Amino acid sequence: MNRKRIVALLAPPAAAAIAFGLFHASPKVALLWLLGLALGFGLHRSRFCVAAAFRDAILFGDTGLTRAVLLALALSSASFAIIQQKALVSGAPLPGNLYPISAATVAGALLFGAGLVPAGGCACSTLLRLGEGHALYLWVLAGIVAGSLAGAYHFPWWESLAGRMAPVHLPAVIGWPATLAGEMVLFGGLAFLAVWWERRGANEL
Amino acid sequence: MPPLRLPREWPYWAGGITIALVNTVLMLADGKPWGITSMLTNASARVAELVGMRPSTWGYFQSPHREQALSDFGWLDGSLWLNLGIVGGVLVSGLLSREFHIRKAPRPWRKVALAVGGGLLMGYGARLAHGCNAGILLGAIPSHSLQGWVFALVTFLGVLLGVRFFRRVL
Repeated sequence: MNRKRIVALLAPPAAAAIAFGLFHASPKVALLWLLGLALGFGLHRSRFCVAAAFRDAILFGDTGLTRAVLLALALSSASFAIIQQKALVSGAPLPGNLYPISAATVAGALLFGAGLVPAGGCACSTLLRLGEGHALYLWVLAGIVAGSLAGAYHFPWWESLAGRMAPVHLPAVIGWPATLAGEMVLFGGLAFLAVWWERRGANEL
Repeated sequence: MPPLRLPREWPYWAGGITIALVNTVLMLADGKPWGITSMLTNASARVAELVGMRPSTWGYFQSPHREQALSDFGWLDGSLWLNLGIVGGVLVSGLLSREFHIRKAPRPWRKVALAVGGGLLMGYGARLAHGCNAGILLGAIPSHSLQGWVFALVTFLGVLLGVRFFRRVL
């Protein structure tokens, strides 16, 4: 029995032991650790990468991941809608990620998108590559951490550059039926566009 | 012989379903979906405090929510353990399928410079945009937030720009 095999068989019990340890300190943190394990396991087994959903579509006309991201978006849009509507009815604060739009959003997304090309992946691919043992991604992580601090320092300047639009929750503006119908049409339309783009790319090559 | 027989590869769509499931449980349990870079910002601000900087006085941290998140940040931060769990889950998957190998960072410093430079751009950009592909693309769009769509569109343009600009050096 070689050493690698022993380490491999010890990994799941070790992960469970960490969950037990965390449970004593905070059951919620233990749950988040377990959810992280599930997410990491699933993303690694499926070779998932959001950065590649953009990059490989552009570079190679390869849109398998693009369509998988659209599937994730369609499913979670539906489940989040139920969770958000329940919160709205009960008067609880609206769950989810709702942020304002400003020049900071546009500049930030542009720099973020450009940066994931030389880095070879976005923040989530960095976590995946680290788990796979790629030491190079420690450098990417260090860059993200340092860049985050600089971004936080400059944030007020970027946000004051042009107008700032308060967070827009689409159902509050156009209602749930139009929001969900519009989103599903967009996800489906983009998936069709991805298939068309892939076929067109294959013809060219 | 692998220690455990795992399906060699799951299709991409299985990864998409995993994300949707985990994000739904996170919304129910935590009120917010998966994110990475907000936690990294808090971590880097705490490290900056150690070397004498005062990030808690910066405009960015003046909102009550962000001020709270920064002062609460510590070893039991939920987002920290969620993301450590992701690394752990990949490690478990890699070890069981015998795909895990320590791969040293390559010698050519050009590669290291690209890694650090790309990381800096991503960290800086993600902070301006309130998050990365995880928090905004996969988190804000399903939250039915208009900002998520703006982020997705401009990120696409950014990748297009990055491909054009960095194609020759990669």
